[in-house]
Amino acid sequence: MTFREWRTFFRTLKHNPIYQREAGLIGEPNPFYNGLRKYAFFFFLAALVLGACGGVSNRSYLLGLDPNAAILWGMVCIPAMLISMVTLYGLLMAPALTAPALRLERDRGTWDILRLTPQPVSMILVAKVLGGLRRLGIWKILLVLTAIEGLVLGIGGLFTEEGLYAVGLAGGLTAVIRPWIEILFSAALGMYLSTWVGSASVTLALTYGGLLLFRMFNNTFLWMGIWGGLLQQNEETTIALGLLFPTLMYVIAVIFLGFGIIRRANKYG
Amino acid sequence: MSSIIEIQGLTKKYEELTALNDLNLSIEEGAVFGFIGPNGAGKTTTMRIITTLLKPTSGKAWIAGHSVTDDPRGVRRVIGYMPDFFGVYDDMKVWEYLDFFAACYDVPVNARQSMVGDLLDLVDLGHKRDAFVDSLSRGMKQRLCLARTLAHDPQILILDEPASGLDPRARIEIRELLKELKIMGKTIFFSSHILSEVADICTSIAIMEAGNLVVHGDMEEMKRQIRTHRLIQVKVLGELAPLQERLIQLPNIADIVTSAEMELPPDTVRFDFNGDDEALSQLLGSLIGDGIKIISFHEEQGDLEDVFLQVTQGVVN
Repeated sequence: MTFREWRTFFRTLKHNPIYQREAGLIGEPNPFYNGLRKYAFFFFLAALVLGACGGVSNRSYLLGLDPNAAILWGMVCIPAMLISMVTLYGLLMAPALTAPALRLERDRGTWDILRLTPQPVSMILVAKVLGGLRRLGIWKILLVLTAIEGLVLGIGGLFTEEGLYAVGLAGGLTAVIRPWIEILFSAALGMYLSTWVGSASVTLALTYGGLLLFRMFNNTFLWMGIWGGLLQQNEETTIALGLLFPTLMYVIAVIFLGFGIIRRANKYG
Repeated sequence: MSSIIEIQGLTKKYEELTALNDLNLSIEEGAVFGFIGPNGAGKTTTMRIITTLLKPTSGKAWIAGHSVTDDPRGVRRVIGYMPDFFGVYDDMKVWEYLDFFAACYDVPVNARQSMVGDLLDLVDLGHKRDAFVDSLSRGMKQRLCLARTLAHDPQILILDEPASGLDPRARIEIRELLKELKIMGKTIFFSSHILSEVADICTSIAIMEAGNLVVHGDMEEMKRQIRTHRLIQVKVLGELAPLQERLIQLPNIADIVTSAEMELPPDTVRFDFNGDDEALSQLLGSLIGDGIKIISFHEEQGDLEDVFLQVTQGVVN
């Protein structure tokens, strides 16, 4: 696939029939998601509680870092909590949108037919993921919140006593990118696992397990421990890399999952 | 006519299993090609390779000049494929289904509406335009799927068991539809294990068994080649005995049976004749010259089942 083809693809995405279908504009492509939406309240509740805890704890390290950061923490506390809630809701619901996407096509016998259209498999998959994720309906609010938090954290580094510019920059960058990439990771993991597992419910459970494990072994504090404790970096570098590395790991994981999905999808059917 | 499908030495192996072994085929443009064989013979594997859905272990194939391994996108543009499994979206309306795939094939929006109408008329589903696919009968879904293969007006239709699982009426409808598509100039490559269905519409066939091509060629010619003796039926006016006595005396004739001995039309004799058309013509002239009152003289056409049973051994992969 050339850059030009991808550019055309993204420019015309909203007219792409596969994207439109996955977004629910043509027929009802995903009965599993519709079934799961009956329990959306519980997902929302989980996101509310866990998001509130996560949003606060994720930023609390700034307090110990610099007395001036208390103001900063106060400023980002609310958006951080909201981002955490919205992200968690996205993380929980995204695999329900993408996990059955390939499986249902195969069960219906339509996957081979789609593969024979002039659209390359990679574009079909991207259209499916993006079309499915569009149904989450959280993107505008997430865009606003991540932009606010990113800006505050990015600029905030300038006002710390010790001039922790790198920390501010890393924090800002992470705040903007991480929620999106985490949701994409969740969606991609769901889709990848669905190419191995027959049932959408089992796929969903496995995806949640995978998300939990990945978060457990890929978080800021763990990376700070690695950079500060094991690799003996100074405090500023330790925190900056501790902030950046989890996001980087998500990006790498999404790329690998993307290749894995394409590889599996080419053999699927 | 030129070859539109050319297959050379196509082989597909799955570890120990050879699903397809050194297949060589050539199919002419405009042909209706029947691909026959029992389950596990390698029909679907062949179809999946020539539709670019599966990579061959070795060998090459060209569809309308496009290599299936080097130019899969070129191949996809010229073929319409119907898998053995339905391949429909039950949650869509009939027109939406066709419109969706036409859009996938980049058919412009303004052309799609009339195209969908034409396709629905062709497969006789115009009255079901706004019905949900889910509500269609199995035969209707199959016709809809066939209409879908035509959405981008391909040169070649590759249909895997198009009449599988259909009731007799739906099978006839599909057969008639294939005849119509043949008239439209499409090259049709389809697999089946319903031999009568293949015999009715095919211009050429190939019989597969356990991944190997057993026989391939023009259907009528092949029947003739496979039959070592020609079966001739003669109906006479009056007594059969004079004809029988005369036939016994003639060379190249064997196994004479009458309607009294086996199930044949009344006053009919059937015998094996070993000779060409010229010899057959001389035989007829000779019988008439002998004063035998012949009212019908014709060669029995061996059916495809005979061919199939003669060339296959019941080996399964």
